[in-house]
Amino acid sequence: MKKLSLYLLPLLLAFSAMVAVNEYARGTIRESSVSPKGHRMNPSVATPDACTWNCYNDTGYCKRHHVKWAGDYFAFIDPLYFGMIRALLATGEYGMANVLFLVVLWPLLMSYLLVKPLLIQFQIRRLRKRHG
Amino acid sequence: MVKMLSYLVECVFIYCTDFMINLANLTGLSYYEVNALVFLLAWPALTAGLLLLLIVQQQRLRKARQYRCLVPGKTSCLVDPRRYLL
Repeated sequence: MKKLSLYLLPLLLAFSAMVAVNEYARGTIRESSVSPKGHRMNPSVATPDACTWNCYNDTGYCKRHHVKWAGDYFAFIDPLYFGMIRALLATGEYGMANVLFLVVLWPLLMSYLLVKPLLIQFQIRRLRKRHG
Repeated sequence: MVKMLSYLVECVFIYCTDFMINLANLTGLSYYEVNALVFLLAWPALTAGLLLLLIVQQQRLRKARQYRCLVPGKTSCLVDPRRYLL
């Protein structure tokens, strides 16, 4: 149980940071929006000054009006970017696939990979003390 | 039950997408750039780096265990394990 909570700690910290950012930003957003699937924090209308849900729906608009530094790298980024979107769409359940892979599984994997080497390092130190 | 799960997944998806939009606006970048930085650069690099670190650590642990004293309670070892413990 102790080890499990250790593995989940980075994940909890990351999600806490996400909540902190969202709740801070909520105070700065003047207009939210409502979709058929739920309440959204950000507006849906396209604005050239800031990203909105329109950037999610229309990547071309975001690329034309909001991109700062990635303009020179579209040829490299686009195949990977849209390839990932196509792969998630191919599952048939885009939202579920997004949440499963990008919110649950991949962060869980990174959390495990972050904690396990640390635990191994403690084991090595214990062995060193025993022989030292 | 399935409907509730579906609704929960939708809420999480919307909240996370709002997070990416907020992150873009707060950092001065675009939604496209934030997504590219996180999912195409940062996370793959972090995953690969941590995987490499795990492999290295496991090899170090294996070497450290190989040179434990074979006789329990014996204070001197045939091979000094400190050579292999970086």
